Amino acid sequence: MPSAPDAAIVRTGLAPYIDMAYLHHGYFFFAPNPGPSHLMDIQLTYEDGNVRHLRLPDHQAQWPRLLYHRHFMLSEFLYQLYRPALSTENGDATQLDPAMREAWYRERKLFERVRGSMEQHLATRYGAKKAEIQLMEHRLPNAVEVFDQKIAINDERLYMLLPDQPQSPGDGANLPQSFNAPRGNMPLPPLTSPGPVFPNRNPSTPGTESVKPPALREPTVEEVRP
Amino acid sequence: MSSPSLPDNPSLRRWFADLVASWNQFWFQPTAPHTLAVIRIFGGAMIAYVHVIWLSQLQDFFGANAWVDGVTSRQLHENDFIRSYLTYVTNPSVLTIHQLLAIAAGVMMCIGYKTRLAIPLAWFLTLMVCHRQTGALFGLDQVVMMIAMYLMLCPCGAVYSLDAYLKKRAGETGDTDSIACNISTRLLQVHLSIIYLFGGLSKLRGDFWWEGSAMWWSVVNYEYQSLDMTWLGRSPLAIALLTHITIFWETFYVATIWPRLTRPITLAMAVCVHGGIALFLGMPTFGFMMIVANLCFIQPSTTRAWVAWLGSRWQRNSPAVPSR
Repeated sequence: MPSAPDAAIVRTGLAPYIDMAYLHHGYFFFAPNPGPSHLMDIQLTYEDGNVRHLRLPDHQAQWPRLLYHRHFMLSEFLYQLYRPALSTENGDATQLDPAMREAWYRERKLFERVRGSMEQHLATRYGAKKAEIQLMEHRLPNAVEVFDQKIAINDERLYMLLPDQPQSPGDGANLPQSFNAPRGNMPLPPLTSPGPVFPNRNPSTPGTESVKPPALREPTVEEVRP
Repeated sequence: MSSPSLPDNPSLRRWFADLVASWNQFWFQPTAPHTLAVIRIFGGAMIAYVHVIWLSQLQDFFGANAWVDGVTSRQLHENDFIRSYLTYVTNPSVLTIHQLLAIAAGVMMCIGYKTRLAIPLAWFLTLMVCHRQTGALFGLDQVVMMIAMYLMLCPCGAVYSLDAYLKKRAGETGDTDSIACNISTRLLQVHLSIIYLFGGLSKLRGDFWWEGSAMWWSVVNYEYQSLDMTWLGRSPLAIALLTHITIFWETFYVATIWPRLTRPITLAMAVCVHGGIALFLGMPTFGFMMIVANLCFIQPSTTRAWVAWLGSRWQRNSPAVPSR
């Protein structure tokens, strides 16, 4: 949400103090809505051509819980910076006015910079030639899915890769590579926001919905980040 | 007949006098340090623990090839006032010494040794880490920094501390009540009220808090979950009630925490909500520290009575030492 002009004046005046004293955060715990989690789907490529997939955060790999949560926050942080590439084919890039294109370019560079730092870290940490991070969204299931369709809350079909490249029409759901479990016959619709929590309790056949490239959006600070 | 002018109006003058007296009493009435000392003990222990965790993954978070390396960290803060020397430091030995010092400061704060030095040191070293670790922080860091920032303003090591023990052994006695303790307590109380107010207001922008489903979307979040509470969803009424009680409590905390009548209920709710976050939503450290922060609304006399009761219970249950 953009700042109001009067709030911006106050913020500017107090910025040195609140920044330096680490008081610059809003208190948006689970606000405005509890939303999906964002994870990293990591592909490590080794000198011998071997490829390994990791997922972060990972309950098993990061312990104690505080360490797990640090990794989880890094993943959410990368998502906050996420600015997907724009398509030149469908005119996304050319339709932007110069100021918006400039803003997108700056934010995209920052996202690439942070992602690059994280990929460099992962390559060094795991002795790989190259590490590639792709962001992944974990959609929250509603009550019908959990109780009637017996879908586990960590079911692989609830995870969806967030495209970093412009998507072609007809691209299906991007399922992450970091899962080894066998897939179900029909992926759940990769909704970008949860549907009603307690809809009609009659089980229905999940429809299919193609993944659209995320629209250019304002920077958000109200991510779910307790 | 003309009415008396404002300065001559006795009721207005009395109102102003009452206002000034209330203001002075609110901020400057000398207060005992017992509640703040308990907050200090838990806050210091948590700061030490936080730095132990950082230390365990020093190269991953601070090294030359850290998740967010120093250059990138500085670039993220080009347009603000967030600065940390740790964005320039990658030497493992220096980083280890830094973290060991921070752990020592946290432990000293906890046990109350050289408290007036230990708390500012713990605050500063943790601040530098927070400024370095953009991206890996969350509510826990906010609350421990808030606690340390206000505790360093007052002599909260005057009781329940090694400093107090050493002073007593040296035969020094003195009044522990101070205006500084009251100021620290009030700042903590006001800050905490603001946290809840804005937490509540920001939730009110979301549909799920209004329609009563937010609790469901919280318990089905696998990445947060530490204990499975999805069974709650079998009762939409229970989910809605829990959601609405939470949002009501959080938004109106700023009002209900002050009257004596509603304060115990508000604090009991804080324990339930944060206890729930600690147990079920995978944030035991954050949930625990929020409960500790809420202690600032407990009167020092009550804290003293509780600690004395706990001390007597402990003495009764500990094995008797045979006399020589």
